[in-house]
Amino acid sequence: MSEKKTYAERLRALDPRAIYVLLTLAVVVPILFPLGLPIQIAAPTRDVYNAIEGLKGGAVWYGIDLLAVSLPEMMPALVVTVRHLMTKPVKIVFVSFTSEGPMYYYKLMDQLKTQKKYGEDFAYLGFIPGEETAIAAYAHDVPGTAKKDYFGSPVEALPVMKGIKTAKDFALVITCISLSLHNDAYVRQVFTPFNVKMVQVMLSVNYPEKILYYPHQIVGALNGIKGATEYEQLTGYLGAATSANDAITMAHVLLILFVVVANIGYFASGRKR
Amino acid sequence: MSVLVRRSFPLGIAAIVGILMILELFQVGKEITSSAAMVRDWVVIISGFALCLGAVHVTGFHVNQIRKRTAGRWPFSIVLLAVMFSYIAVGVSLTTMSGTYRWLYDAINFPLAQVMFSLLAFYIFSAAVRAFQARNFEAVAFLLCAILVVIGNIPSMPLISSALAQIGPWILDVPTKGAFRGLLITAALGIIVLGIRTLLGRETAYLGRA
Repeated sequence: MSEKKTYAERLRALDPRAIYVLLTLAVVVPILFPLGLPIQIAAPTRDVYNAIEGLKGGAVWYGIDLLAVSLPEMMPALVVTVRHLMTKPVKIVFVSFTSEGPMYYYKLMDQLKTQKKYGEDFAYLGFIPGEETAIAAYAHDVPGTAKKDYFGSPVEALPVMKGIKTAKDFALVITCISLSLHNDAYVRQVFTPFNVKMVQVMLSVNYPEKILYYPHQIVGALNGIKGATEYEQLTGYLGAATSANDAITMAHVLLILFVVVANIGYFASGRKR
Repeated sequence: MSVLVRRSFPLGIAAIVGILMILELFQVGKEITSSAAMVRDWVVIISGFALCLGAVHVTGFHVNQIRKRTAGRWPFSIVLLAVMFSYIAVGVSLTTMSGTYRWLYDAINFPLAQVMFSLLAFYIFSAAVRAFQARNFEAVAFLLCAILVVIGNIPSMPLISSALAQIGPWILDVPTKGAFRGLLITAALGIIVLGIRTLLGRETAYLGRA
């Protein structure tokens, strides 16, 4: 006959499926029935906003360096930052150093309604293979590395590319990054040799490690979906991130509750492993 | 193959390219700068070819799996090759800008990738509940830091308790940043040593031998 478990032991031996169900509810319910929880803006997010808001002209290098896995977390940040950029009197040069970047570009354009014209105000130079070396090559010689845009037009023929030769010719570099090694690559190959102003949009999982570049090498950073939520609040373009805010909050609160309950169970059961 | 071709020639190329890149950093002359730019362009071109080579290698590997009927693997190899060549066929015939290619990506790749990534949240959540137990002093410190960082990561937290919400970001800003900067500088020193060894021909691991 199996030994009857105490309440504390049952608390500790919680079925993972129960955790999964509760986590699902904590995420899904707030999305279906928003609570409208208020948020406060973090300093690195505000600095990204200030960097874009302060643009008075020139060109912006926008790196769409994303992988398919990070779409739910990074897409809202990509959309809201580009939407903000589109309101500024700047030229935007999009480029990707991940092979899935072009698919993100399409998704981005599907979601944006802009008066800016392709070729004149913005352009997409497509995917450039070669990882860090490609970033370095592009930073040193933009038209030499990307001779044609993604749609096959010669880069020299695009009015938006006029006067852009190296990274130094950009007023701001913004990168949306899935792979943490790209955070380092951008700092090493773009910031260090050219001392150009840079902000990075990164996955929350990379944020604790890569925020070390803030505020010296990068002047601002967005922390995944949380950063996107804050940015949407700052700009007033409320979108997918804002609707996810309640879900993030509830999931975090649930995690804390579970950790507390598991520890109560641990101590109540005589600290048995 | 002679030692000259297998060892000396690649080591020589690595040394020349490495020295060229270092000289470019110090802006020695226009010739050096243009040569370094040319080498970087070569890397971009070679990387493009490397992707093709990767596809060839993947095909060879999985054709072998299917031919040998490797238990538990060969059906997946068929799926992989079918999907890969479908993408290649659509991309080559209709271009990657076509609606069909984008639809394949949007309907298959994006959802599957997101599902895999989302599943991680459940595993991490479950693992965190089990791992964060106050068993000893180190575990208590780990638990407290983790909880405080999680609290600091709650978007609405500063409006509930400003003081509590500031501890998590402080942990990230001061001790974590300091530790990571230490690691980064240590790794950079290691990379410098590795670079010197490579330039001197002492480092041969990248040639496929330790």
